[in-house]
Amino acid sequence: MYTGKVEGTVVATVKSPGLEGIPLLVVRVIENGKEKGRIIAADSTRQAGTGDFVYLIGSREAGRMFRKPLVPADAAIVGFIDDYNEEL
Amino acid sequence: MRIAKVVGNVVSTVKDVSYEGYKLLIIENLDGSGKREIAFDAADAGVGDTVLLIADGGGSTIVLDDKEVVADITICGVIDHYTIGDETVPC
Amino acid sequence: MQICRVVGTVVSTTKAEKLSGLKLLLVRPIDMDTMEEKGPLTVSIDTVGAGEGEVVMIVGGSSSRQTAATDGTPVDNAIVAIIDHIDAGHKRIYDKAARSGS
Repeated sequence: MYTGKVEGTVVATVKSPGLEGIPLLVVRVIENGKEKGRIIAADSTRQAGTGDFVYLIGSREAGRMFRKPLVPADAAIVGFIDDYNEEL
Repeated sequence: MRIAKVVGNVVSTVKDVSYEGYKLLIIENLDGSGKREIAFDAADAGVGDTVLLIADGGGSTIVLDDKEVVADITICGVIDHYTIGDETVPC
Repeated sequence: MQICRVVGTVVSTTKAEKLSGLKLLLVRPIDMDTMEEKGPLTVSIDTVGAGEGEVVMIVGGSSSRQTAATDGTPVDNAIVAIIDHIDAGHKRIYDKAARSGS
């Protein structure tokens, strides 16, 4: 999994039926503490919003987070980060 | 599979229900990229350990022995040492 | 997922049987920081009826096979939404209505 910061929202009326009712958010990927590009992630917590520090799962597992067939997502928010402790 | 070093941990209260009870560790890939990611732990690993990762959803399900959890990267072993060519790297 | 602009179509008569009936579009990624087209041209399977010039959301890898149209097909990229608007960094960075009106 990887980390990111929620920066915004995406609205799409015409979409794959599997994505109905799933919030789509703009997320800034953070890798090794550095800000990378923006992606769109499906929010499986259904409660993330702008400014939240979250972690995400990618590839095929992203769609599996929604526990229903045929969810075409390759990035999903799976939790909120309370503490991120790098000791080394 | 990959080799990585455990460099920290993540505390998360609000998360997917299937993640309850799992320890999340920050790993640094020892593949030259130095990329840090969050992994599930199925080998009781700790900070400083060099570990073996399964970086695949199906493999993670097997090693965590949990059909509900949706995981991508899981620590499945703590490495004692490994060799590259003639060089032995102690861990 | 990433956003792309649909820049063209691809027609292929001789192709793998499991690709038959699928609409192939040519897309170019859009960087969501600059909103400029950036990156390699990609062939993407259209599952939502997108058209040339539209800004769409694409999904990559094995996740792209998670639609009714692409389930079990040999694809690695699919268009799964047509974007209406995007708000990021406290401003509207894309608005389909504004563009079509101009």
